[in-house]
Amino acid sequence: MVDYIQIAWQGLVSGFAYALIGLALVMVYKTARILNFAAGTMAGISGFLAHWWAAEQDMPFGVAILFAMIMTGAGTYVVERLTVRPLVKLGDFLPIVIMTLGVEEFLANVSLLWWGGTARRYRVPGDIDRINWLIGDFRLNAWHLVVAITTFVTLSIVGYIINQTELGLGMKAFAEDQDAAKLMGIKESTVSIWTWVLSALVGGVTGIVFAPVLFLQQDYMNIIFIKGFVAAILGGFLSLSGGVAGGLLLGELEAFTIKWAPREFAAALPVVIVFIVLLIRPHGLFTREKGHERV
Amino acid sequence: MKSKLWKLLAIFAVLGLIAVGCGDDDSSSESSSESSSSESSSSESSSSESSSSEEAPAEEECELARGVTDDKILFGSSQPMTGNLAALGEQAVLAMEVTRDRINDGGGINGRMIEFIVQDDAYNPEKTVSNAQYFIEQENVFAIWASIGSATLKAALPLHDESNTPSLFPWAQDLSFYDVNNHPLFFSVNPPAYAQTKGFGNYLVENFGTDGIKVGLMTINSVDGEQTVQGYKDSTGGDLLVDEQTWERDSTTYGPQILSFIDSGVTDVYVGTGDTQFAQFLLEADQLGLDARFWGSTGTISANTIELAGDLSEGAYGVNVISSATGDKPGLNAYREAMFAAGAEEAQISTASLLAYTGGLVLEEMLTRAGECLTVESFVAAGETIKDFDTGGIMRPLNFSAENHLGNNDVIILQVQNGAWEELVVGQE
Amino acid sequence: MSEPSENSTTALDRAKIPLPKFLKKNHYFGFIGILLVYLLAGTYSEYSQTIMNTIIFAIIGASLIVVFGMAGQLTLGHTIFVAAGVFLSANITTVWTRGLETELPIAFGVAFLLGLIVGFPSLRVNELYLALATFAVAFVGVQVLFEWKQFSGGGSGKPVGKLELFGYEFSRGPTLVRIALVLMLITFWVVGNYQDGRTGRAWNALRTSETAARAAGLPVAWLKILCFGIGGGLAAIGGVLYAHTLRYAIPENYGVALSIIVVLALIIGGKHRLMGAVLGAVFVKWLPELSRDVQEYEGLIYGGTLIILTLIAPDGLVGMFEWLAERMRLKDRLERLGITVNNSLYNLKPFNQILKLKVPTSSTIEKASPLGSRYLAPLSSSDPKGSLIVRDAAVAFGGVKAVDGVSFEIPAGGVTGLIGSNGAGKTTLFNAITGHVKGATGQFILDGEEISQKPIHNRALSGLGRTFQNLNLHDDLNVLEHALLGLDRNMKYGRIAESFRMPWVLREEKNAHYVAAELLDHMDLLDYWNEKVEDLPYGLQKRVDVVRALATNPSILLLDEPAAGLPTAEALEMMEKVQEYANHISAGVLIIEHNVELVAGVSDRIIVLDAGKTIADGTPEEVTRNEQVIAAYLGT
Repeated sequence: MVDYIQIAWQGLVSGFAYALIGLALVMVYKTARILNFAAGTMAGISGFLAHWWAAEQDMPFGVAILFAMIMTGAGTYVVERLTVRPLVKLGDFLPIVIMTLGVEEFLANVSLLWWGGTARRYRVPGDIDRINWLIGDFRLNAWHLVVAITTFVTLSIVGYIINQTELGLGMKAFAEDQDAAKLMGIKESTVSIWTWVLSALVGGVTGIVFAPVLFLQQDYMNIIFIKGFVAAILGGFLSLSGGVAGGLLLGELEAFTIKWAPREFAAALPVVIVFIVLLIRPHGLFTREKGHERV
Repeated sequence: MKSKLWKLLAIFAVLGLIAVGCGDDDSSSESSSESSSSESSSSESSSSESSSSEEAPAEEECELARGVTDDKILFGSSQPMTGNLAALGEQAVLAMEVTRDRINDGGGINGRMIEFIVQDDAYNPEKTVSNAQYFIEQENVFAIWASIGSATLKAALPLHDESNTPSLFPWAQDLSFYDVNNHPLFFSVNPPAYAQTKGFGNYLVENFGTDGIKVGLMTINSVDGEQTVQGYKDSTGGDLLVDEQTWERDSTTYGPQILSFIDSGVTDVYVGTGDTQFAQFLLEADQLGLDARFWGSTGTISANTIELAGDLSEGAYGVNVISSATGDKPGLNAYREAMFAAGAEEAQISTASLLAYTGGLVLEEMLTRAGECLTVESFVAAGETIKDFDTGGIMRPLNFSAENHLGNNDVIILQVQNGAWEELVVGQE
Repeated sequence: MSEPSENSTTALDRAKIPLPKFLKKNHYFGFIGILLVYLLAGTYSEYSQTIMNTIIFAIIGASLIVVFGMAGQLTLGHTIFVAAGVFLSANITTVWTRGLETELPIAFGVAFLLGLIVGFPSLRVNELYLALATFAVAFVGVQVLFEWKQFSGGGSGKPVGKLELFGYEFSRGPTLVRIALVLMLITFWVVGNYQDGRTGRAWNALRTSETAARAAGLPVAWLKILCFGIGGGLAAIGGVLYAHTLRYAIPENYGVALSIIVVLALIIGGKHRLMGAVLGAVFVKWLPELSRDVQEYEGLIYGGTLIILTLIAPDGLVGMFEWLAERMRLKDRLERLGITVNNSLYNLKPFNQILKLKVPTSSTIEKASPLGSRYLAPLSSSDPKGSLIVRDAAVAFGGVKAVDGVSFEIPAGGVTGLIGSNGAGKTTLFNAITGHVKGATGQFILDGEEISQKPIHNRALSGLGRTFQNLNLHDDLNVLEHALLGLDRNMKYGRIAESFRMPWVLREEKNAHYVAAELLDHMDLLDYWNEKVEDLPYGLQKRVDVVRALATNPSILLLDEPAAGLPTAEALEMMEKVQEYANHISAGVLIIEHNVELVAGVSDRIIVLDAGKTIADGTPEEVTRNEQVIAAYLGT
């Protein structure tokens, strides 16, 4: 029994990462219909920045994170204005996707030239990432608890922003109906840019909080990004809570398939399951299929 | 009028295309004549240079190899400089720079300075092959030196062989490379992955017996992975294998594999990975309470494993082909001194850089022995004469011969003790 | 070949619509380009590897044009076809020790079948979801390769044998480049022929509006699956070449990353044109080649170039060149008309519209009635068709019954109006009849044939022709192509013949062009035959919609608010033309319309719907006097 709890917890911790990145992706897609392929790399750079401020510029841990988040937000603001904004008016989905791929490649190489390819350890105060508590037979890593708490706090803040603030209402309006939102006098470009920044900050938190788990390597968030992408699709890509739920589900799926499936299929099985789910429910698990196509 | 012109051109085009079917003999002879002409042109340039130094005593005619002039030898190296293996590429290149500077500061070899060009392949065979062609046909290098990767080398090696280009001291561990008949220009000091796990299995039984020992293997699902498993199965400890797990390049956690190891009650886990992944494995094993001896493969033996894993690496074993990069031996001290002088970080003191460095020592010896008249033949012949070559304790004395281009077949067992890799035993497969 | 004078009475000649020819200007350019590379391959042999990679990517790009550029199926699983080619090649050359003559057909065949299977998810999902579904396929494909050791050698991979053709061994290097060029030529020829033929037209149609493509009678499901088959087969040819360049096949190379690069290359180049496949391949392969000297910054340069390129050429390089060329021509035309424009090329769009609509090309020439022309005259029939029986038609969305047990019978050849207030269920009833709405119940019998169980396109083939309230035209296709789409069912040539541009393919295409031109002429659209539909004013777009339906030679024409948004005069004129044509082919007409006067004017009979139920059915006079109708509809 403890075994299962342990596996479930392990899957949940991976799932937190997928869920947060999935959330970041869905947020931008939902409001602006843009797929951001640079999300993983941007999140990774946040992690590197937090490490850099702390380890190389001797900032206190918390201040370093704050600085990293500010830089992430500001950087995203600039990137969105320079690269994505000029393309939005064309109203075509693909050039923007290609653009984010270009941004991804560019930023990844900046990061590589800056920090090199060697993995680094992201030190946390008191090395609490190395503390394990034994609760009966269940082992709980202290940092995993921090990850869980951070995830819930982040989700709550995002939830608050979306439901209680003007930005959130604007995002909702745009997600519902772009034209109607414009008629209501909501400025598309303002909503879009703050959505981007918010999404990058969620990514940044993920990048930082998972740095001690995965170590700071180049590309370390890219795999999380791909899984987050899968999670977002599993959740329907148009539902924020769906993205989060999809992430958690994917984490569990991975943990349990590797445990039970034959070795040969373990790697592919989660993706196969997602594939089958998609065939049965083409619009994801957590969004209802739109009504009949109006012709 | 206009359309007639078009039709005429089209007819030409079609004729030209049909010609390919019949052009078989033509083009093959053409390409062979091309390669011979490129050889002759390079020999021309070298001979013209040699004729410019006319006062030199008329020696017997010597056609220098491609990439070799009177004052320079050019090498190419295809490395993963981007992507998730970039760290290895950076380390290897650093060691190559150290080697180059050492040789050139000492006046070169037979008056020739060493130079090399690095190209990134991001561990993608297609790029490795393009790089190989670039090195060989555009840059006219003498040899390909210290490239990284089995999968990549598998694709590029035929091109090396055909163009008479030696492949020197790569970090690539596929069994097929070591067949001298197929790859007569391949030299290495790095035994195949197969030999490493076999050595591990033998050592395990020798030192810990078979009683109550249960072994778990964790290998990458790739070129080296299967041979790693096979090597272990062929060892004396082969029967002790109870759990076989693989990891993918895109894994983010080893938790499930570790849980499986816990389930099957393994006492010893062999992890075929790189240093970062090994550190993560140790971290997660601790989190999940896997109580076993951990054995890391060649790639895991670096200062960075200890840096990343901290105390958790204490007591971990390493199965290596070479002494610990952090060990205390004359050759190793010289290596570290040179590396740090070249600006290496602590984390770059690793098997990857040490292997490239050691290959550099042998390369220097081979070039020296090949003498003034450096051709591929003289170079290979010189390499095959090397016996009992002393690396200052980095490896046991190296021996090459016409049948064996693998100078070193050692399996060295290391252990992390007090925050450093210490050498336990040197054995042979 | 085309002689002047005699034929100039046909609409096609008057509008100077070029007939499909065996070789087009593009073909010559293509030949010459490939020939140049062919001749230079020996001279630049030191680049043969990069040239090879470029050719391979161009071939894969061309295969992706089929799947993505034409049919619009965003796939991230394209590499499994490449992988199939690579590993089949490795096996055939080493195990069977056969050469290209065996490798190519088998690789094509196997990948074709594989494509048919991989194409299945495309029937269920679209865009993002299809991207993920195919992503999963690619992911699983690699795993299969890892585990299927006899075939792929597992993780260790498999060597590729000699390069042979019918027993002759070839050296690699420039010779391989030449062989690759010939294969590229063939691939491009085939893809180009599809672009010009009925299959490509159908793919383009389903990309831009699946709904309308179905309504025009195109077998959309089969077309979707087929695009994966053909695209896959062609990609496998690239795979065979890839195998011979790399000489070693390793599963892990053929993962999702390669799929993404292939798609990226095509988008950068331009996803609708073969030239785009070439330019994309050149971009992806030569940028790194050219930045070898500054190798450390290669990634930075690559990313930076990608960003800049996307900014200046969001539609791909080909798109940018075409756009520039069009602007140049336009500026030229304006200047000749004495209109000076400032130098900015950006400000020409409005002029573009004006010019296109202002310069008639053919209307000055005296013309005979198109209906009497030798292309439309044979369609004339005095045998009325299009009797439609609707029994208990019902459609419910959730709890709301949009159509609630409607029954009526329409005799052959008549014009019937269907009116009702907004939300009365008129369009839903149409959709139920044509099959465009799921979960419709009831019985529909057309000319004595029960069609209730048939899929949309088969109902269309049975004789249902329809237009759409919101048009559903195919952006990117011109007016003529819309008419040709409707004529698709008349073309009998096969898809293999099409891929090689056989003589009878051209013959049928030519004939269809003549018919289409006459049809356009009848609807007064001939002047605009070459305009993209999205550039046309609304009134003309409505006519295009009608032409597409008329071209199918329907038994009954279902018109969904044909007059909406048009001035009454224009609407009446159009309706007159439609009726004229319907009479010509003796087809029935069923019109949904809000404009009661218009309906009353043209209909023999009117059916009134309210809240999903029939409330009146009779002659226009009867209906307009019906109190219930007046209360529910006319009164307000």
